[in-house]
Amino acid sequence: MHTLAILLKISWYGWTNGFRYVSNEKRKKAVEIIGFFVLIAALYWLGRALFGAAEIQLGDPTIVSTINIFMTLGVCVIIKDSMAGAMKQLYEAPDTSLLLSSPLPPSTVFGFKFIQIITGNSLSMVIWIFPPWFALGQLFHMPWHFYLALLPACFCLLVIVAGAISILTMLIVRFFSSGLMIRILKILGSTIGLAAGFLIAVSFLAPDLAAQFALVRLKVPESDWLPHVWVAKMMMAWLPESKMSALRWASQLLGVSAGISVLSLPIASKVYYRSWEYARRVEVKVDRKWKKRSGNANFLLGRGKIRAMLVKDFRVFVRDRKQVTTVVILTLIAIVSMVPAASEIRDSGGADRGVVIPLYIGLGFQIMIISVMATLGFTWGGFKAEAKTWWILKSSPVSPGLLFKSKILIATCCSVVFTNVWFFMWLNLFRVSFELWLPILIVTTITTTAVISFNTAMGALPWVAEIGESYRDSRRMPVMRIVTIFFAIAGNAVLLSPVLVWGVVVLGGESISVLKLLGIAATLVVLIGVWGLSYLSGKRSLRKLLY
Amino acid sequence: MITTTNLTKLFGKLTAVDRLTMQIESGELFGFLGPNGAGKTTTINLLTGLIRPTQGTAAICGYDIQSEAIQTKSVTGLMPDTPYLYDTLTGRQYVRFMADLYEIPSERSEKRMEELLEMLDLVDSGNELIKSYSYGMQKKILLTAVLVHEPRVLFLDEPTSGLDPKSARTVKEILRLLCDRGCTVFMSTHILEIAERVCDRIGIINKGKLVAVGTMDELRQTSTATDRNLEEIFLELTGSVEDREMVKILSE
Repeated sequence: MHTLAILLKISWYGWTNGFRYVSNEKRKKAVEIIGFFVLIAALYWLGRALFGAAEIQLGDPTIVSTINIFMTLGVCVIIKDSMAGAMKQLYEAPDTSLLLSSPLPPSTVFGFKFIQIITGNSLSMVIWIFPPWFALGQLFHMPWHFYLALLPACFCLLVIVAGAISILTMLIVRFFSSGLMIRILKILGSTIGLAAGFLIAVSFLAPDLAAQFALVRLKVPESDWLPHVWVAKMMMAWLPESKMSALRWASQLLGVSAGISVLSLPIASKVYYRSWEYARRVEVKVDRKWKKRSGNANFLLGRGKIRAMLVKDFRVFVRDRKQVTTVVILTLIAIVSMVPAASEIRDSGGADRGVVIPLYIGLGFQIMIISVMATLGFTWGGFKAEAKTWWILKSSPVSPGLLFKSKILIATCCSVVFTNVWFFMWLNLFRVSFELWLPILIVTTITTTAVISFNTAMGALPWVAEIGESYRDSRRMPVMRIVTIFFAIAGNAVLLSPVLVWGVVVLGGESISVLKLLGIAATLVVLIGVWGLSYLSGKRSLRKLLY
Repeated sequence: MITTTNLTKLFGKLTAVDRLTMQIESGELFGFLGPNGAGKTTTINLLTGLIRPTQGTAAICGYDIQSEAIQTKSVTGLMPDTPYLYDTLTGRQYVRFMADLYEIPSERSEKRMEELLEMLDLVDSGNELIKSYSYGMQKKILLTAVLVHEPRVLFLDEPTSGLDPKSARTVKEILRLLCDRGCTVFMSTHILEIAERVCDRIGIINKGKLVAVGTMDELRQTSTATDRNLEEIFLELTGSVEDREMVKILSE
């Protein structure tokens, strides 16, 4: 116990020193806190919308199912955070080797790590679980002890989830450790996180629509075996007309959370050290097929500076689990959007312009946004991702122009292919006349290229890329980054609109006059101008970062 | 080959490198020594263009490091102390990438890469992802990538740290061979034995200032006793003799 206290004290010092001595850390935390407040507000408003849409009355059983929707979402996020936290804290943290090589029993090291996992995830609990309960409490004017009871109840839930996940992680790594298994766990975690983020983003934009969807379509499990249901039932017992017993659920929560914590220690003493050894031995090898394919890539693309950069960027992108997960999820979203649109068009016979045009605008814009989002890893985050390896490019004979061109090229190639595949389907779906396909695809391609270059130029700004002395020296960077994010979002929206305007003209069946054609030509000139300006701006930013 | 004139770097109020003036000839293996925080890595970063000098100039192979950055970089190679590499590339893919950046014809780079991988015992692990490499293996792949484009001037920051004795010896032999072929090597190290045995000339930096430079014999002449070894000269010049005496007293 004494050793654990020492470890926790040191960890606390490390955390506070980060604030005291690293001024950049303070600013980062400030930006993060703003983000968390936005999320809490989003969930609070979603909670109010959901309870409002359900027109819940006291004693209504819908309350439990409504709150369970939130609890399930929150628990999914906590599971994801616990998975990531367990992998990071138990196996990847730099202090793990040091602690396990010191004369400390593995169960003590695990205990310390377990506390770190719980501490790290407490913020997720506050963000994802508290706001809907606050919305409910406000709606029914609950007494102050309702809010007070929420904290220990949710804490017990967090301990149960984090404990179960930590034990499972240790067992998986101990008995089934392989590079593939670890990658699957990581991808699963990222997928849950991204899906939850997407749901919240959609809910924030259209809370009433999300509420309707959740109440009508969502069926979440309400079994008494699930710990989040215990929290829901315990909290429901505070409602004035409730007949539930808080004591039963409270004791169940407390007992299981204590039990799981106690149980994890003997498991850790038997399994943790060995699982850590296995995790270290896992060698992520490239299989033979991949080797053959990468050889072909060299054969097809030849050699040379720009090709080397393209191949390197592509390889790094496709082997990054976050990027791959993002692309998979965005593709799924596109499919999910296409299917109901197709059935709606089929039902209307494709002739009803009142149905077709809004669908066209919505779907077209969505495809363009999805395509832009899928390449953000190259464009907005491409340079930031290279911060640690920047010295390689900086000490090599690479010019800013070449570097910028290579980033734009790879992002444009990927984005144009992705966008045009979807637009092919979309043109089919809306039964657009064949002779209009080429102009639409040309406009789409030019727009995509302009947006990609714009985003790459934004990503090359020192305060976005977070590279170089000029970034480190400046104190205004977090503010600059937020301003740039808003500017980039607005810029993207403006740049993507010509595709839709052009599509509406085509689908609207109006005659294409010379004036309209001139308008479209002018728009294309503007887009090409944006490309040129972005190229110059990106080159200028990279000159600062490279020299 | 390497010329610096009043090269200075300030980080806020801290003077990391203070008016460094020196000249290193072609084919020379130059050892750059100094205590922790003396300015060794900062000097290497300045000469390789990773950071900009606050004052002064430097030229490599006649190219000014600031106004002719691309030309300078095309004749230099850098092996930093901390090997941050592209984790998701394999060793061979990374080396090929570096060869392509320096526009080395593929037949030549492939042949040279395989030779170097063999010398550094990386033939089998060359197709594994870099993230699975140990620290020592990462340093070796870094050295392979630096040598594949046959730089005229090579900057090495602690090249032998983290290497096993066999690899460390191979590295020393490679460096000697490179210098015999006309390559200039600028190497910072904490291992005085390596500097004493391998380097042609040695520079000692302390608190950003170059306090001594010359061959071992020249350094001995600057010292109070001519029979001293490099460790004693180093301690005398960097003011660490008192610390050593303190350790002696404590151990008694």
